[in-house]
Amino acid sequence: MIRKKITTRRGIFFKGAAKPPELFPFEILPAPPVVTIPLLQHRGPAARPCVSAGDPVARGQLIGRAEDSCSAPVHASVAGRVSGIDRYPYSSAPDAWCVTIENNGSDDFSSPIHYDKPLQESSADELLARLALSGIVDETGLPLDGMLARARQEEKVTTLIVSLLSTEPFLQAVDLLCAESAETLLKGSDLCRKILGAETCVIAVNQRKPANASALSAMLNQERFPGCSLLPISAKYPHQNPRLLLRDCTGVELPFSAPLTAAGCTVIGGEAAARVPEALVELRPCYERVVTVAGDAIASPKNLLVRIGTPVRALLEACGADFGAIQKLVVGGPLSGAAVRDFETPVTKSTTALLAFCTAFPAGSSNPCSKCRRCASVCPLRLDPARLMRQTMSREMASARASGILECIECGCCSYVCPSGINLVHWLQFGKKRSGAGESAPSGHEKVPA
Amino acid sequence: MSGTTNTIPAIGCDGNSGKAAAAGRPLPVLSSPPHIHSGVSTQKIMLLYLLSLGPSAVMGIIHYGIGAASFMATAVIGAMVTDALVSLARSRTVPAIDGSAAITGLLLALSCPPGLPLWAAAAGSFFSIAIVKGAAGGLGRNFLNPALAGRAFLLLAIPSLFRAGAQPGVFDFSLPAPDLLQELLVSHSSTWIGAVSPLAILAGAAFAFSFRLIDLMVPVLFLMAAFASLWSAHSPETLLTTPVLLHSLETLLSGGVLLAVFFMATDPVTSPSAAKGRTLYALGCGAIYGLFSAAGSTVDAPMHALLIMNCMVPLIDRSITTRFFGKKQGRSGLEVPRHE
Repeated sequence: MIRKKITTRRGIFFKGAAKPPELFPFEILPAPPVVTIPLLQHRGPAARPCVSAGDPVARGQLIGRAEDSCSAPVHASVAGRVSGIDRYPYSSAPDAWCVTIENNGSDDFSSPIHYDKPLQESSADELLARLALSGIVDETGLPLDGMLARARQEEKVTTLIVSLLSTEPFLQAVDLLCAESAETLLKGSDLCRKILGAETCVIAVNQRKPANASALSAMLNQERFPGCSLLPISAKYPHQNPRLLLRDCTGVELPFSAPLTAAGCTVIGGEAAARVPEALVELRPCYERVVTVAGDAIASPKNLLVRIGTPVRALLEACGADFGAIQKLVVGGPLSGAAVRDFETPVTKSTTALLAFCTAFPAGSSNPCSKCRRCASVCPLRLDPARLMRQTMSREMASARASGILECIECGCCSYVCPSGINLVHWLQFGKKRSGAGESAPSGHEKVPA
Repeated sequence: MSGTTNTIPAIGCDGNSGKAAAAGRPLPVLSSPPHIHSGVSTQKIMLLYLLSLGPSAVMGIIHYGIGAASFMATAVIGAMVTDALVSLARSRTVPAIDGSAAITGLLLALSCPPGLPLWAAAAGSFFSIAIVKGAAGGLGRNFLNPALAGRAFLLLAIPSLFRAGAQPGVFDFSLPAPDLLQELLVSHSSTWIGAVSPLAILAGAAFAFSFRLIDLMVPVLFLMAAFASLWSAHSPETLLTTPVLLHSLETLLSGGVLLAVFFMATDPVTSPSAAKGRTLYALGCGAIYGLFSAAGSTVDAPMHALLIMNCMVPLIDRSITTRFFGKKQGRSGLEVPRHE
């Protein structure tokens, strides 16, 4: 099932990938006086608020109830009083609301996860029901319990793959996890394997980060986790993507429309796996996360443990950012993250990093495509981004679909290498939207935004 | 959150950033990802490409003297000026100098025989840039290799001057290794200015390959197919004799075929995009080269082969595409786009 020799072709090794930088120091950021917690921190429908303005809340208390298995519950990250439920200003989704909580400093804790039976005596269904209360969201944006539940329903899944590849530059949450809490990570992976009913659990680690592999193998050698095994992969970016990782491991290429479980495997992120013992053993829901704060405008880069809902200003201040010099502020990784301009933007469950740069690449202007084919040679899905861009420009959406535009995972490799400075991934996103929207016959030649 | 209301403000433009702007602090720039870039620009690529043509140009100048140098300079300057004029005429802005015109001019000069008048260089580079590249839409839109099309234009316009001194090189493979090496460094061929030294071309190609400017699949397949077709053109009973094999090799080393193989056949604009398509293209180039050099002029054969295969590229690109991730393996017939 799992291949012996694994090579990740296509994609990018970033400069310095062979010798990754040291781990930034780890620090716990004190809870801020006010947190703004969005109720939509996952893909799927937003959680429905179950508190109202003026209510007292405890840390860990449920404030947003999950609507269905595609939705994740949201919990208070500080103890205090709900000061308002407002429109979330940083999302255009129609159901994007946020809960503002004023911290009273008491830090009282109340667990939303009920504890009726010890872990060993609980059945997989009971564990899954408890996991559903914890609000853990995988790095793909899906709630972890929903992923596991669907994988259990659909087919017999024999292998669970836990992705610890972390190939994007700057991101260190996974490296920190391996260095500091390898045991929690393995325990969580093993619990997920049990919930899933899978026989084996394969933990994919990045060979370019040998410290991670050695920390985990030291823990695995103690033979406490007989179902788990380590799989070192010399991974290029973006091979942490579940579909790519699945291909690297099993050789099966699944189209975007097929469920990930079709190959008898399912892929979950390492960060989500490490949260499982927190939820099931410590009964702690997901209300904080590690954020890597880095970039050339940051004096002392750090990995901060941050309460969800903390404004990014607090993180920047804790790391000695030069606010006047920040030309670009990115929430997330440098290739997939979103640029923000408001320093009050809150940290969410999917905020992997906060990057502050003194230069504002890209400049915005680009030269015409010189057809150098670098984008096609780097695309991990073997697409031809330049051709797809031309097809999108001329509204040949049937051709674009036939050339696989819907398979694009928007990793940004094509834009990263384009010598003409064209933001190809932006065009591909546009093209995906245009082909998904069922374009009708073009009415003349419409000018498209360049 | 202070300053939020129940209306949706423009993303990232609520009261707080307004305060930041009022305090005189510049706001961070908003843009879609990715937020980092490899730093490799078209200008850099073109500069490295020019450098990889350097050895051939230098050997040409050493062998043919100052006349060749001025011929190259005229072609390069002519190409760059034409490019600027075409850009001005098309968009009314002064174009960025990306160096592609200089490469076209230099390749045109290197592919011409020595002893042509300077006005030929200017006329050829004007044709290359204005007609072949500019009229097709500029950089990346030409379907013919501009340098070779310019050479073809000159060949049709002034055939007598072209024929004057063309003499394919002769290599004596029986010489001891040092002498043979010297012959490979400065051959006696007088066909293409850039084809004086096979070793210089190979050194330039190695440089270009080390920076991943060219891929080696097309050159290798081209040369293999060319060798096979040259060799099989001989009479059947002599096929396995040493002189026949050496004669085929000699043809490949003389003339401009090495320059065409490494620096013109690898042009990504005028070659197919899928690997299978490039294989077909390279084999086709080699076979046509063999046919032309067996039947006619060895000196012009690389040009004929490449220009003919350039014309086939749109068809190859239509019918042979890379199987993208997750696509079912199946018959890939001619892909006819349905116009919606």
